[in-house]
Amino acid sequence: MTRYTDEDLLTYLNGDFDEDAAQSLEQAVGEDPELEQRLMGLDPLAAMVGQAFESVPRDADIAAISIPAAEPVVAPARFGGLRLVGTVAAMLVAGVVGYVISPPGPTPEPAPIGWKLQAALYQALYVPETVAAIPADSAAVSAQLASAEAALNRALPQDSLSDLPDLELKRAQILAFKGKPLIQLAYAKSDGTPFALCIFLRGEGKPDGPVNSEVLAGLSTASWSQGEFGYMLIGGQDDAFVTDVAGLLVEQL
Amino acid sequence: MVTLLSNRKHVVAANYSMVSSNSLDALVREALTQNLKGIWRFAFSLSGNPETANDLVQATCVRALERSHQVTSDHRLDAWLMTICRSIWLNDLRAQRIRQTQSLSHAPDAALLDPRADTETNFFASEVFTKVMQLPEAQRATVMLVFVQGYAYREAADILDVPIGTVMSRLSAARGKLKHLMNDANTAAGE
Repeated sequence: MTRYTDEDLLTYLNGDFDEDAAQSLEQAVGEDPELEQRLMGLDPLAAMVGQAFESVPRDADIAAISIPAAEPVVAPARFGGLRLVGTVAAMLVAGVVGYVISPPGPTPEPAPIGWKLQAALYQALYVPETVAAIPADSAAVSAQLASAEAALNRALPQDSLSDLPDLELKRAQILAFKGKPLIQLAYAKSDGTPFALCIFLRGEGKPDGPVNSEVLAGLSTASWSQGEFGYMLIGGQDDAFVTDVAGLLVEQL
Repeated sequence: MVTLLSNRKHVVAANYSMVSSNSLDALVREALTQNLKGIWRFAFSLSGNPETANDLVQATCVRALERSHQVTSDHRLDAWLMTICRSIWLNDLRAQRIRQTQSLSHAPDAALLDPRADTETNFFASEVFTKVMQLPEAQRATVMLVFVQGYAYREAADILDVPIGTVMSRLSAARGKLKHLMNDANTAAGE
């Protein structure tokens, strides 16, 4: 396969490749996501056009659009197994609870949602703006990690967790799944993509599991378990990146 | 079960069908809320008209909620919503819009831009906006997905249901028409 230099890619972007060379590059990009990302990163028009449309539409332009209201769901007060922070999670929980109370007629009982899928559903609602809005504050992260350490009763070394390739640690949140702490460490990749490392206190007496890659809620994940804890790194659509970073975390945690 | 992003290497066994329909409804509802402006931009790029974009986004909201039970674990919900938007445009609204206007040519409305920006910035943004909106529909939609919404070429190809090479060709054609804007920006920066 042809090795394309940045100069080659800029020549293509400038429209100076002949037709055959352009077709060869387009075929190569189709087979190589890394080449695709390099080419996209060099395209000067993207930022210019993106900025021109940044303020479009204004809130007033879309004020007339309404998302149809949800049908009301009654949740029982005694249900306390699942607790996530935020409106989004509350809506998800309401949905899950609604199903538990009154499953629709002939549909088989659904399989229980595990902590990983539930965390992935939550993470799927993150957009670059979610993590971009979190101010860089190392002291705040230290305090959040200290709370998370107390919840898990284990160390979470900030140095190691802040030293992941291309990922900036933005925040540590304490969530819970079925009454057990579920820590979400929110990261922003350099291109803005939100990522999270989730650590779940699954309890004792369960076998360790190696790193397993899968897509959950449309996001790449790598999960593994060791001792009392289950781990999941999640974010983006680059499976290889997630698996590579998970490999580093396995060594550090 | 519908699979829209078939280029994924791994597909998990568990899927959203294991989640209650109420959860999926809430998930889609939240995805609509978070992506409303992005869907609107895409709808605007397809229709070239803000009023039609509003209709298209409204229809997308209704259709997405009707189909929330079809969501699977390998869906990226934002891309799924874009696909619904495009489908409604092609199947329901495009012909209607052509009948109304006799063509899809239109006068781009730069008044949609934020008037708070300084004059020079606004002038340049207005020029870029106008030139993008004057592109043919297919190029315009591709530019919007890749340059504005930040989708990778292959993701845009999935949404538009075309080969990745077609996405790249459309972008190349658009670049040719927008290149002078880049030169203008470089000249202004050098002054």
